[in-house]
Amino acid sequence: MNLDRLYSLVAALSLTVLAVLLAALWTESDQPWQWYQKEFAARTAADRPARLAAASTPMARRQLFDAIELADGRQPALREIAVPQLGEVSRCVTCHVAVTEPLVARAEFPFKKHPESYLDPRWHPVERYGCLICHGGEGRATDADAAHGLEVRGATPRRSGEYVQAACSRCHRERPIVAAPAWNLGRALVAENGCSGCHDLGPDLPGALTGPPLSGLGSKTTAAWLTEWLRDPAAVRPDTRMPRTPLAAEEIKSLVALLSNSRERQVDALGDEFTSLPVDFARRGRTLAQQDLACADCHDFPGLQRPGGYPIPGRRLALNLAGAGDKLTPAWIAALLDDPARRLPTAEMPRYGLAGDDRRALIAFLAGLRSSLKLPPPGRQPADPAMAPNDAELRKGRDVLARQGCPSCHITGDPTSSELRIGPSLATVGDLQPWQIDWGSATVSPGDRHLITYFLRKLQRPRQFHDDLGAVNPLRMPTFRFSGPQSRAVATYLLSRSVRTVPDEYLVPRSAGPTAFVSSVGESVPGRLAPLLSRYRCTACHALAGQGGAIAPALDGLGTKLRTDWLRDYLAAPSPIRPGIQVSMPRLFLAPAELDAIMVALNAVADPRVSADVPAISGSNAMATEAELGRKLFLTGVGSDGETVGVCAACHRHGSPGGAAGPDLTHAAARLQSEWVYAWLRLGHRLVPATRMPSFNLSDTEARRLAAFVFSDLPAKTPGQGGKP
Amino acid sequence: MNTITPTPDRPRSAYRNFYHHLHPLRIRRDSLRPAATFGLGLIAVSLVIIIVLTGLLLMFHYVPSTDPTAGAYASMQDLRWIVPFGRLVRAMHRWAAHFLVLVVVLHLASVFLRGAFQVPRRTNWLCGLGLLLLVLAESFTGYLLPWDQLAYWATVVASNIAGAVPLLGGWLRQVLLGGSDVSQVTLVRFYALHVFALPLLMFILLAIHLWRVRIDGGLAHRSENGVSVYPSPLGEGAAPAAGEGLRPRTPEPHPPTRLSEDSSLPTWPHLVLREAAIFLACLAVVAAAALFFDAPLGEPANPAHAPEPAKAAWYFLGLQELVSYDYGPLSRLHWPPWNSAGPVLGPEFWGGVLLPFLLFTALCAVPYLRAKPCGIGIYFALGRRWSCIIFLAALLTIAALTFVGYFLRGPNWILTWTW
Repeated sequence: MNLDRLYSLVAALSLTVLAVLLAALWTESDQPWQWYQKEFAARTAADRPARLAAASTPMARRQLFDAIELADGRQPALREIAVPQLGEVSRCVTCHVAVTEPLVARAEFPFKKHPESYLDPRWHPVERYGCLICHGGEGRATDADAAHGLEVRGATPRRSGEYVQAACSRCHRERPIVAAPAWNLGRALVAENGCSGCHDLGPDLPGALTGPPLSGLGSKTTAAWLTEWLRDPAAVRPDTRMPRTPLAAEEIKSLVALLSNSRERQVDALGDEFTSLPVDFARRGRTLAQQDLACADCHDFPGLQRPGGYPIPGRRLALNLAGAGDKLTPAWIAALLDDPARRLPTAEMPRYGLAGDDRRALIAFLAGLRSSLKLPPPGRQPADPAMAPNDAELRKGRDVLARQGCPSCHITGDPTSSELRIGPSLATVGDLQPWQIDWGSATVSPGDRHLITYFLRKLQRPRQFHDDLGAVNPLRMPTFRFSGPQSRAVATYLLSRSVRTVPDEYLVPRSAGPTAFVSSVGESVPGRLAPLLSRYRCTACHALAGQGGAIAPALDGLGTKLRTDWLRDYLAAPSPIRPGIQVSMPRLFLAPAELDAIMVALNAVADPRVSADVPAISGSNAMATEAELGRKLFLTGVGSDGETVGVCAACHRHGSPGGAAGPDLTHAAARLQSEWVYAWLRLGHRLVPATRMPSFNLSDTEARRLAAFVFSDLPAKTPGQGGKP
Repeated sequence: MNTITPTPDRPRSAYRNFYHHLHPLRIRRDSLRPAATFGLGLIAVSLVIIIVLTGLLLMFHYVPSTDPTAGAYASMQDLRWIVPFGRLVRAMHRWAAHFLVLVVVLHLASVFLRGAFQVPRRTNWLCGLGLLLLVLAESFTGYLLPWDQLAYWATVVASNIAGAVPLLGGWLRQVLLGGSDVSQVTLVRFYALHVFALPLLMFILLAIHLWRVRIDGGLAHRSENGVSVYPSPLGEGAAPAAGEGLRPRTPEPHPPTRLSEDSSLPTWPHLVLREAAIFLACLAVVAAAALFFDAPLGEPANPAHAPEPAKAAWYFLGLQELVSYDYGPLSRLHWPPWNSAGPVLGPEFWGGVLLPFLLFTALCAVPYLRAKPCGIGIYFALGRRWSCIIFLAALLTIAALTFVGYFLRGPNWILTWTW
């Protein structure tokens, strides 16, 4: 190579290096986030939107940006929110420039204010929470794909929409969580459908048997009904919770043989009593069910359907009774009514003290509820030893039972069946990385290979990932019937199953429930109440000392809240108090002696915060003046210092016209103790955390006056005795 | 026209004083042919320079700490996303290091195949082998510094191999890791080795390596064959050096100065321009590679969760592949062999320690196996054909093992066809 060419080569290479470095400089200086900040500056200044609209070409836009930069003297700069407590740095605000700017609530992404009031300084001040704790993503990144966790391994892919609610339970310990409707719905669905029977979901939802026991099924129903049911539960009862398990006809046959082979002598013994009941009994039973027993508050049955809402929107609390006569033998219905806790340990069904003709009428009514399936009527099905299936058939049935995971939801009563969870643990499923998901033989586009898509597809058709394997499909999850929003809610809940933790100072405590003060009364009260509560299954709906259901108000502090005479009348013949209640208190048909015992026990359940040491509320002339002042406050909402504290009459009425959102207070004086009303007005949520009534922070005087007004129509009584007659 | 006549003007004397430490005045025309060495040595030096400079820039930002929010991993993320040119500099450092391993191995192959390891260049061959080890050690220590999953688990794998060295293994592993696990202590140790101890050793060895090139008479050349007497600085006819000790030297004249005008060219500008061209080409290639391909960064190191499979860097995959094999009855032997209660010599020993050790020992011994040099400066000289064949076979085996390890190993180190 001659020297000249050598010099040229060196020169050319020098230029190449220069070109590469210039290219690097160019990529470095042209970052998308700078564009967002310039665009935002152009949009928000006074005269600029018009100029911006005029600048249609990229070049004109660039010139406009340059002019703005010059005018503002402000260069685009990286911005970040550092949250050292969480070990997080969020540079999201470099592009999402306006998350805390209220002026741009209606702009489009990313020039938009954060939706809703989640970032309100009272709830989630941005400098304390940052972005990542709820949204995931890679906070240090400054290009969109990386920041959204789409190309960075190890980052949580960004969550938006309802899936953000998966993060709420990291801090919030209260259930349900305020302002996390999708998560709450998902949790309710997961609980109701018994997901934790097959899957470990961590301590939030410990495993629970959601189905009825399978033991004694031969005495409860017929083989024909079981066969129909196992083929497709929803075809028999469209709103059932039982998922469909694809079973071969052979499998159904041996399963039915196994299940109907199990009989219960106690139920069979009741059999003959109900074989032929008078026809008018059914009509009488219907009246009883619709009125006194309030069956329709929880059940649908033909001719009485109500919109449901508990625990899940659109759902009823208990199963649809249509076709109950096809399924249930009259003897079993009788056994259920006699002791619901024994027949259906997982249902919230109360026990009624029904006897004699009332009991027979109700059974006649229920046994007469037939469906269009045209199944042979149950009843009079004595165990026939000749029909007993052979051992091989039973063994086959047991195999199917165990393989399909029936014991995850049902007590089988079969000592040989295993009660193990057949599904994998989902306790940390929200931490799964996209590449850890096993899609099996399913075809998934690369953009869909993330956890949420997996959940949605799995919930829609659980065995689709091994369709190629046909009969030997190792996936055993049955098919549930979730709607689109329900699937998304369940996915939201599953995303929240994670080992990620937050520092203790971020934890929101469970709302201080009523557990705290009941124990101060003494162990003896729940102790004396316990047999009664369990006999009538009060705790299926009411909680006491933190134990029990959430369908109805807690019983804690009842002794210092309600007047005993009123409560006694109420229990004998309940009538709804609160407007908009879906499940009302049924008439339990309590025997007088039991009623007395309950009165004594409930009276002892006191709340120490409701003190007897309060100013006399009624009876004196001075109180009449107070009551008049209270009436003004009730109607106008103007407090003693002239400030508006809240118009009670907007929701309540007391003799005079008023709102209907809260209970009618006209006869509250007969129901409530004045001390409790006084304490309630002062303490609000602190006394009853679950109430829908807002706290008004009333002064002692205001509380006294309002209480005086509520009790103004009550005859005088001696101070200090409270409401206890 | 470019004959250099020593005149005492200032630039010339500066040139002589500094530049001549590395360069002769004249250089053989043959040595300047691209095919003579393919410029591999120069490429290696260029890459080292790039690595040192980019490494220095990286040190301005890097924090050798395992702290998830302000430590090594966070500094990688910041380099990637907010430090101006951080992404480019890190990628250049990374790619230059990968190229360096490749180039150094090719350089070794070229020297071997040309027979340039023979007398009088035995010492420099050993010196070069030392540099090879240092390059691998630099790569290994640098691999841990980003503190991502890849880094962490590659180091775990490698430290387990180090632990398989008989007698010293446990101790070696302990010293290397600063404990029983890869931890903060390990990170600091690797950092100190990577930015200080190993570079220092490398510069010393590199200086000797380059200096020996001059002392040993420039690049190996076919004209040295059959010359029973090595062209010594002491003059024609001087006794050949016994062994490989340093020969007495005189400042002038250097051997190349005695090269004839016909067969040689002045170093300036012929060699220097070529050096500049090679350096610039390396810089362009590395910078372009860095511009288009980011240095990878996995998820943050998580000692609780091993990726499947945990793979070492590509240049150690041959080794990892060897470790994964079943050595049959050998892997039931104990250490020491007569003590059946002693530790078992598993595949880590046979594949991870013994085989590489034997290979390296063989490389060191090669110049001493043949008394009389043969085919110096000639690729695949007939007299050395068997050693060339064996060498190439070994090299291809390593390449094949690396290929299998890189492309064909899936979870649980099971052979998979990935495309």
